[in-house]
Amino acid sequence: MKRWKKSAALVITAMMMTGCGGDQAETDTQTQESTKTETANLQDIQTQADALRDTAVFADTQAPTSLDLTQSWNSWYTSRYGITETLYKLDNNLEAQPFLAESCEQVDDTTWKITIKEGITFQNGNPLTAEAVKGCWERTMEKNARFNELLFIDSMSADGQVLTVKTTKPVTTFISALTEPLTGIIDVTAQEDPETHPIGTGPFCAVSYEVKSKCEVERYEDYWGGTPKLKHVTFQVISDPSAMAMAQQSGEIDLSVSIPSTSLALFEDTSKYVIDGVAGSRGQVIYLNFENEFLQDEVIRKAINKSIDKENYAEILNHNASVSTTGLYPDFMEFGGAQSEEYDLEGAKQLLEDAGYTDSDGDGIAEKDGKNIELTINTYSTKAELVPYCEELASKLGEIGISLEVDTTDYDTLVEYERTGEFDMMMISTTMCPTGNAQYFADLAFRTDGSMNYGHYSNPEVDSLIDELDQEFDVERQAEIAKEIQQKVVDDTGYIVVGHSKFIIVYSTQVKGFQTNPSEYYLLDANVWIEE
Amino acid sequence: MKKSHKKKIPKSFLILCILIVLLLGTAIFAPLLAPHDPNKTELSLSLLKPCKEYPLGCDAMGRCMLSRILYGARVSIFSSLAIVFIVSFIGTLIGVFSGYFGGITDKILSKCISIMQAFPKMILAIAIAGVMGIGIENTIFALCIVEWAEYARLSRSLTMGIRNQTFIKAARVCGESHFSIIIRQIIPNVIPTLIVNASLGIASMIMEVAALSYLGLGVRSPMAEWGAMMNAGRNYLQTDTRLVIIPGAAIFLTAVIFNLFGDKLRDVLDGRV
Amino acid sequence: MRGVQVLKRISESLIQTIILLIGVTLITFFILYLSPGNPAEKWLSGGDGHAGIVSEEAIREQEIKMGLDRPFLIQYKDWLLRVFQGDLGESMITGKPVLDELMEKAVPTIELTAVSLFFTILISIPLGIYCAVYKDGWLDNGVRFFSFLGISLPSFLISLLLLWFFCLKLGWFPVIATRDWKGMVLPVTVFVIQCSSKFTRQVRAVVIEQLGKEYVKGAIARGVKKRTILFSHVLKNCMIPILSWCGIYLGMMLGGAAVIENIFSWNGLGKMAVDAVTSLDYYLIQGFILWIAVMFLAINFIIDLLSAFLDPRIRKN
Repeated sequence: MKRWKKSAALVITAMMMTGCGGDQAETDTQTQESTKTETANLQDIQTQADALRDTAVFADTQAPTSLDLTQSWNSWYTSRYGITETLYKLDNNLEAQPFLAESCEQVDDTTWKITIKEGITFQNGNPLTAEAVKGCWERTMEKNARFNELLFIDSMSADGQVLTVKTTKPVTTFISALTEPLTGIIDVTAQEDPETHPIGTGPFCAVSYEVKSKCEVERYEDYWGGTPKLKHVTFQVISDPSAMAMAQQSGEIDLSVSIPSTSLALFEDTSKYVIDGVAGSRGQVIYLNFENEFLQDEVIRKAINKSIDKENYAEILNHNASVSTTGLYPDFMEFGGAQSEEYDLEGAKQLLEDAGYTDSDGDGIAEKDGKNIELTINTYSTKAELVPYCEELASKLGEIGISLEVDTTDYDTLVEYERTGEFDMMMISTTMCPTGNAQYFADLAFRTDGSMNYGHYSNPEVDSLIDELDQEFDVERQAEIAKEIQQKVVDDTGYIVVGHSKFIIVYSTQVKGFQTNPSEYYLLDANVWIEE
Repeated sequence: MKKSHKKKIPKSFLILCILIVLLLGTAIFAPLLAPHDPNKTELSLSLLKPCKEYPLGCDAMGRCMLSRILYGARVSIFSSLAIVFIVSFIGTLIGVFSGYFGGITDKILSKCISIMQAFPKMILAIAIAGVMGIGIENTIFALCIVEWAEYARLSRSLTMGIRNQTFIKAARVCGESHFSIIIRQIIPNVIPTLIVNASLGIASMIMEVAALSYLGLGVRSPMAEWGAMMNAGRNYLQTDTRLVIIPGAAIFLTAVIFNLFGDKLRDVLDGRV
Repeated sequence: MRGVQVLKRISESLIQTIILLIGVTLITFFILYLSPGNPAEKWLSGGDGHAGIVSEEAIREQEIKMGLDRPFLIQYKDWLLRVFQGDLGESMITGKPVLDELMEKAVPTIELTAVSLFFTILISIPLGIYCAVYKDGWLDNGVRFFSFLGISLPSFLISLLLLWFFCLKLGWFPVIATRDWKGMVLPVTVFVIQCSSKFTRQVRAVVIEQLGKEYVKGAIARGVKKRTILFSHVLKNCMIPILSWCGIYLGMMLGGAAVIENIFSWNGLGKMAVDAVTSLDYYLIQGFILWIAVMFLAINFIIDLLSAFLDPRIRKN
């Protein structure tokens, strides 16, 4: 029986190898592979002796539409699954560090010279060259409009390991954009269908993908960063987060992504579980509509801001799955840490009274010129913390005399409101610095004509500062300007950010070598292993 | 047993009537009975265990569970009553019309009825509620659209059963108008069965409203509703089962009372006919 | 002559069926069309809000790809024409043919249905008959009591409690249902509790009604054995209503139970339908609705046939 199992394992391993190797397996590589199989087999025995399990099950509530990284946001998943990698990688402070690239130098305002590391191979054995990167990016450019908004590529020329990129305009965020998984590299010359078998450079190659159900990956033996420790990993998609939490508890899964904060209490036993989470840049942002007659009044905006006990929101309502912020950007970032007013309900009430908002008709709602302050906040339920946050806000605002109705819709309806501008207030969860730079959100939301400035916030000073930021290549100076912009928006109470979510990952203590990163881009890498 | 006291109503039925009155009373007077504002949050009281001031404790946001259950009774009971009322009215109308006139009218209407019945109810309700957005009025609307066919089918078959009986024919011969026959002959004859059916329907409506809220489509937050409360408490299923059990028990008990009531009502009405 | 009549009847019912199917799918299409969401945008954003923004251009492009840029009736007409050629289209989310998707998801649902219905029938029919015969006996009262509990418990409450107790407290069954008997136990239990509570009461009511009929009284007066009356007459007459109830349950279960399948992560049609509705996968939902309607009609047809076979009166007609 046992022998049968072992030989079956051998056959399977051999099959996997050829699967990974692709169709290009020629005679000489075949002999190489058979020796590889033998070593794999040896390793097998080794692992058995060490009582190591070399398979793992990871779970997430979300999944890509296919494994083709050019489609929609799939690249985030292929990156998390360890299939594709990018030229630069974000570190724990969300700063870009060279990864597949050796370096990236700026030649002039619109020219960048990227040197690719030597000796990196795709999962089919093909070497990673500048030509390969060029080919891949050309395909991505054609298929995904978002790519063009990241790198603004005009033309590329490849020479050996050096890729020279010309951009259509000065791109100050060029290097940080190289960390966005959409710029990840796959071998476009490969025969396999990139929707099911993309050939990346990562530690794991795709074996199969059942859409929105599960993805299986197998280690790539010749991974440039050393042979991955795990052999086979299954990414299970469990759309119900409570079910996922329970499956994690029962041991059916080893690691889970996006367990709801309300379930974190279940994993407090540190001998069995690790709750790993670093605050990222996904903020719970309150949009204020400046077309609204009440919200136009700075006093009311300030009073609302003062009614939010940000620390307790994060600690009690969100069970520490987020951290509060005193400003807008995450406090840990270089340009974070602006000062807004502190929680002070009495003060908020006083502020309203001083400005002439009093409740004279005894209905519990303050009014001015006979008009009650009645507002609605729109939110959606897929991000678990938002609805309780809004309910809490409504309750507190009720105490200071502002009537706030919470309108929970699905996400699509909210998008409709964003587009039409038919809202008073809106609370959404959004990534504020996906690639670690401040421009992203400033350009989209703080700028008067920004495409995400749904509430029509406008401050000419902020606008000119953003213009300045967009021209600035010096990193330190960038941070200074960003800081200034942020303080100005905070002073205007143009936006309110309650806090920033942690990218929470829960795993059993058997999972070793796992590293969390705040960016939501990475998950499985070559260093993870399981100890039984 | 039944023959001896034609008019006497069994004791159990009376008790159930009292219980129903109590339930309705709770729903109507929830603002007077509730010890706290059901929507007032107090973060320091998050997940408070039951105590004197908060007899059922507080939920994750520090809101009084008892007050929320009491206010939740309003939503659950009144919306179910509204649905059953609307649906039995419309359903009966269509059913009686279809059954009485027969012919092409009946063909078209009964086709409509079977179209509706061919739908998977819950999925359709989810789709409609999804299209219309969250909110109790939309939930009521969605369930009405899904449920009327059942009532129409029943009243249609009841009407067809008596349509050709002599007293109807006699009335027709006497020159009574169709309208008058429907109102004075047909409706009184089919109504007892329909009432029983409707009263049994209340319980299932309570559960369906709760199910939709549980899926996040029922009521707008922070409105208290039992299904929605269960949904909110689901994440605490293991740490604080109370948050699921209490609203669950409320749904269950209310459903039991209405079911028993419907059942006994049938016995009582059967005894009389 | 007779052949012509049969042919006429068949074609008539076929036309009716087609009208019904068109009605059902048109309504569904219309409801989906009204939804606030945009399938193209949903597809592009991967459903998760605000991971970033999707450009307007990309959405338009995707809309054209999905054929959403055309007027409602044209979209429907095109779909309908394709259905008549046996092509249900492709799922907007997975890109797989709807038919394949349905086949794949139908298998788990059919498995669940078969097992659940088997146990429901196994429990309800004997119990219902017994309770009717020994009306007001202790077992009858007990069964009535429990069936009351059963019909008053919402399925999501039972499911949650079972899940909590058996999967987490005791660890007997997996949380994420596996496709074997172990994963099936809990969903089947919920189904059986729900359906048998109702079904037992229905069987009991039907049998009691028959027992009160004149022919039974006459037979008793003639001194025929009670057992003989029950098995050779009463039950025969009860068969038709009981059968049609079975048909209703079968149809209901084959539609997949949205709540139960979701809670137990049972990868069947009910779960698929809810997912399809939330992601506005038009063609998949259409396919699902067609499946339901076809099942509904097929079951009705079979029940009619069986009834005709069982009832000599209908058979003659």
